[in-house]
Amino acid sequence: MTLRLWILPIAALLFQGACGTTNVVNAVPSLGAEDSAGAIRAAEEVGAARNPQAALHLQLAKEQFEHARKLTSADDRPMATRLLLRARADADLSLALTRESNSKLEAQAALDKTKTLNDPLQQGN
Amino acid sequence: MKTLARIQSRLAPMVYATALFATAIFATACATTTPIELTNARTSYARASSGPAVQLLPAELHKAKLVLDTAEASFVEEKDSPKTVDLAYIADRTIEMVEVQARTALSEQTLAKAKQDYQDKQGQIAKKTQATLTTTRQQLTDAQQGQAQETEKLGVEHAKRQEADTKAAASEQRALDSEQKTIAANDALAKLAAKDEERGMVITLSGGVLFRSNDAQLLPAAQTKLDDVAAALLTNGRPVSIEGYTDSKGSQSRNIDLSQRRAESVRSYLISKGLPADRVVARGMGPDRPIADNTSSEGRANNRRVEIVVAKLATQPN
Repeated sequence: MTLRLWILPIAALLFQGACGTTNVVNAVPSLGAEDSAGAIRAAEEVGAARNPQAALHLQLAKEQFEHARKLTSADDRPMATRLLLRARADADLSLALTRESNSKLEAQAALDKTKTLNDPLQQGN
Repeated sequence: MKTLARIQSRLAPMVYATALFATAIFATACATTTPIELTNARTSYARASSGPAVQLLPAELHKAKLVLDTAEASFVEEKDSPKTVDLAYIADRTIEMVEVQARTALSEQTLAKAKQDYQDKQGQIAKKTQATLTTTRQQLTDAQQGQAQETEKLGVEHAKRQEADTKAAASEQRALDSEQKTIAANDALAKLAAKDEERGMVITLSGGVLFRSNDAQLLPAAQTKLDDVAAALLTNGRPVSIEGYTDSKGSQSRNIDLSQRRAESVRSYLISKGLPADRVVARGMGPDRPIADNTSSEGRANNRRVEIVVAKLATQPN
């Protein structure tokens, strides 16, 4: 799902590179900004701040997002677009890392629970 | 000229080396270096290609490869331009994300298996517990049945013991009664002036009280006396010997016959009062064993008598 969303911005980025015009580039940042902001929120909501590695990527995403927002001139649009895409990539990775951590913790808890499920009939007196 | 040529030949390698060095420096300065982001992305992809993502997320890995290819294409076209760097950065993050997602999928598989194992284990424990419970219940039922049987057995034994105790008490009571009867009988015999001799308790009844002279019919007054004797003998229960005696006057055979008939009269009367016939014997002793002098009338009167001998209790040999 996440990767599918990359296709359009990256295609746009390539097209921008090929054409070298600012008209096409101008249309891209707004799409990237929404996606990036949404990805950052999603990472925050699953608790990325509590996982060191995920928190690092979340921080990178935020910094790149903020940097992109400050680039307001038309000439900066290509760079802003790329920064938003980078922010999106870091936010998505942060989300994935958090989910992995949560999943591992849950799996470990389930394993521990199974391990500690002692047979009461085999317990010694 | 020769010298110049020699110098030139000597300097030529140095110039050549210097030229090569300069060329190398120039080439290095002008060469396009691969951005570290692209190197990282390539390394990440190589790692991901040998990891679990290949099996678990092949489509996602392929898409990540497309992003890497885009960065590679940009590198070919624009070398280490900012766009190439950014695309490589994004490719690296994308590949890393696919790896993380693959590991997450593995964790989820582990979680699912752990949950299944937990359920299976719980099921097994529940089955085992149920089986144990059933066995325990059966054992309890058996124990209760055994206890009921034991209780019933104890009840029967208790009843038997009670019956035995009752019988023992009755027996004791009978023994006590018997003893009391014996005491009462002995008292009754004592009242009849019975003498304790070696052959037993001897009650002596004067012949003059019981019979007329030369007669074996009991006088009415004798019956009153014999009623007391009968009452005492009935409570006693021991064998009784009735012995008739005469004085020495007259023939021996006649005296024995008279004494026998008199003893029989007494025996018949006592039997009529309830004494068992097999307990009473009558014997005519005639003038034997006189208790007084037959020369005087008083002595002969004392010798005319009936003795009722009550046998002693058989003593247990030591």
